[in-house]
Amino acid sequence: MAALSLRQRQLDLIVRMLHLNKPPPPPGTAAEQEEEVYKILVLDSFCLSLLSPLLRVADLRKHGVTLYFPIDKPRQQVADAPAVYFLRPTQANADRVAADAAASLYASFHLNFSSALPRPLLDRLAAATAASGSAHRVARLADQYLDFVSLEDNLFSLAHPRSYVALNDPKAADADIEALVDAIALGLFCAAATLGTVPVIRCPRGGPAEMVAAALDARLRHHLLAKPNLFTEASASASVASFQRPVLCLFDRNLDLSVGIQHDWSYRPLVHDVLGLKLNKLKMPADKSGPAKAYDLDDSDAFWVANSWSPFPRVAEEIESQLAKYKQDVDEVNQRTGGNKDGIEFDGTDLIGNTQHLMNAVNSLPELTERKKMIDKHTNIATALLGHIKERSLDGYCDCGNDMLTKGTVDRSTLLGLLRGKGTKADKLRLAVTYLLCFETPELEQVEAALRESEVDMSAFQYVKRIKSLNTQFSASSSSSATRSNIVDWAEKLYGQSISAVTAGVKNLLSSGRQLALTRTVEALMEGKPNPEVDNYLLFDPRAPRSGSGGQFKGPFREAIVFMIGGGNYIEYRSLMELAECSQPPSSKHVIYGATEIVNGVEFIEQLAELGQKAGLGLGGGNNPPLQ
Amino acid sequence: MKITALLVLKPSTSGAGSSSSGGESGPEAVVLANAIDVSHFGYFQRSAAREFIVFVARTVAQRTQPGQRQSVQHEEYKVHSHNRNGLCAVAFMDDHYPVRSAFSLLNQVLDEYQKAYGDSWKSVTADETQQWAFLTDALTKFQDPAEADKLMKIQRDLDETKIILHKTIESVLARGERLDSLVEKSSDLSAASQMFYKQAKKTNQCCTIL
Repeated sequence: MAALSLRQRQLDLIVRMLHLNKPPPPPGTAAEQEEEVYKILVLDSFCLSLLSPLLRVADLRKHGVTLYFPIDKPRQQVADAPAVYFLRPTQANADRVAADAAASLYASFHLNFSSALPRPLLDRLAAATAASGSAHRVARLADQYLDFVSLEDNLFSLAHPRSYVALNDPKAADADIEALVDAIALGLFCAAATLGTVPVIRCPRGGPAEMVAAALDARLRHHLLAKPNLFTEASASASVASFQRPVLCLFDRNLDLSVGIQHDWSYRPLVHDVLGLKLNKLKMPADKSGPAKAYDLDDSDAFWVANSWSPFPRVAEEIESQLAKYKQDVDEVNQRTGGNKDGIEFDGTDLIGNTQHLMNAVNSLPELTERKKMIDKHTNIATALLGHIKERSLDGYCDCGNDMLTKGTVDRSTLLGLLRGKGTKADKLRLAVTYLLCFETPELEQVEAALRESEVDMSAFQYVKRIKSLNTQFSASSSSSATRSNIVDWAEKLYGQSISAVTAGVKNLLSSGRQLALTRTVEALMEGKPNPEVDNYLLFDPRAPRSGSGGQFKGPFREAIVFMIGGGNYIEYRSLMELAECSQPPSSKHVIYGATEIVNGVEFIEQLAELGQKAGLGLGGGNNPPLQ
Repeated sequence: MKITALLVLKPSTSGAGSSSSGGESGPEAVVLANAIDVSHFGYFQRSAAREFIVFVARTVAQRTQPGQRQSVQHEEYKVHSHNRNGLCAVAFMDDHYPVRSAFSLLNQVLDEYQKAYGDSWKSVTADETQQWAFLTDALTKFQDPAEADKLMKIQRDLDETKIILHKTIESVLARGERLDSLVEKSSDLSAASQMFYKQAKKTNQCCTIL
């Protein structure tokens, strides 16, 4: 069976929407000829962000969209063309649509809302179009339930900026927390509806994860009361192929803060962290070597697909290798076309051969041009990364952080040297917080002194100290023997899996250095066997009777949707993809990873700092020695 | 300068002289009144923070002898405790709050409590859940230690009992007591909090590949 692909499903539904919510006609048929009506697409900023990783302008044209506009800009009338609107269901958007209809901007209006238009707004829109005599122009209105951004086949984001701050802000009102939790639950509902499957929900007790799980369970239960609903259609069409229900694993960022601020040495996380990858696009600022550039880094870039998880040094080698191969191919083309031959030696017997070579050369030029563009792109990116690495000693930060996280060891002189040496203030803060998180009773005096020496704002450090303190107070399993046996258990499991992974020729887990807490937990939840780590996790099954007195299905699951509340990152994404790739037998597990937003280490440490300030820790109140 | 919590407790005397048995929780102070400000914690941390404060207050009060004043440094808090004839007032403050003002405030709290409730506290055996308005007001009013200092002019005759300072909460505990074992036994920490944070702690263990 084909594994769930959230991105493909979302793309299919959007294409259908672009074809006025009818199935797109097969290419080259009479139906396609008939349907060739040119359309206008009107989007708000969120839906534009949603579409940009999925479709390019050329792709839009293939689906009959000749023009697309942001909704909030003035637009000229195009009286004979239908318009497809794709908008978030807000009052401002509804009012704008009503104004457009009143002005008769387009022949007809096909309204698509990214999630669900609330009843009061629907009534308001209906009343406004009726009052302006333009109700007849509204051809169709659909709730699309597509309100999430698919970045990769198995990676999605709800694009909620700074959700970690919003959820942990001491000044947040209860109503704000509830609104955000509902918005997250709605985003997850959209993902489930797009996949066409009702997940079994697992989450730890307490915190935002449980709150979101309860809200999503309620929303799904309420929706399933109606027949037909989004899931009956899907299950009917999917009945041909048998499929299992996925498990939706909900987590809160506080589960593992260190991965959120970790310096990583792989190409993709490094690009995201250092250069700021956004919606699979990278903007390089202008410098002496040329003007500002924008690059697409997605599955259209074969180099990126093949190398984005490689360690940076290997990427640099691969770029050199590609460049060498390119030069060799160019030389070969030159050789065959006789470009370097002395004219005097020309004679008639070579004419046919030369013509053939010239034809081959002309045919190969587009491919060579594309390869050159790709090589230039990655050379520029790698050069920029190298500059940052040298300027900031990023290799030192990666090594030191990695030792702490994977071996539980630290060389204090190295740590203090980095904190006093090169590197941005954010780099130093991230390393210091990693140190704080990795050791039960770390010696902080020198670390704090080094940070202060570098004039680092201590808010984030103090905030994490407090969070850690709250955790530590209630941890009764810190005795060393328990810790040791726990590590041995996991090491044994990892070791065993690594052996079979090597035997099966699957990618070696050892290259990652460690399995994240998140990945271990997801693996345990998917297996469904008794496991003290996850036995106390809550289970919500929206299809089960609410009484829940009977035994509920706890697995095993073949499919998992993992969702991180408060911000995710590429490091977790890769770790989960490796879990799926290393499963035995091959392809027996499939994992989709999502988050409220995809955050890099700099962005996350800034959120921690803001929370520290909001909690009144910014002035170093906890630092002064106790009064004697 | 900040006051995070004010509490009035009655240390238990039932455990005096008896050896602690392994299976039972030790003697615990009873909470007579409390005012706790956890507004500087996030929404999801507030209940855990409140539980932590009550737990630490109970632990410190139970180990403050009648007539004794002591201050305990615990994480970012200075926990001040004053036991007068078996009635104990506890305050959670930051390091900037003057110690003299802190104990003036505790003295005032004890005076007001006796005025309001007389000796009825002696027969209390379970935590009081009803809020005491004076304590809530005091938490707000005495954020400014100058308010507490006004009391100094009236109480010139304050006795010179030495204030004991402890740098960690462990030094307040009896020999052999461990904070972790107290956490296990405590009924302050809800099962959810205990399980949640155990889980969080475990899953964050660094995992070493041998």
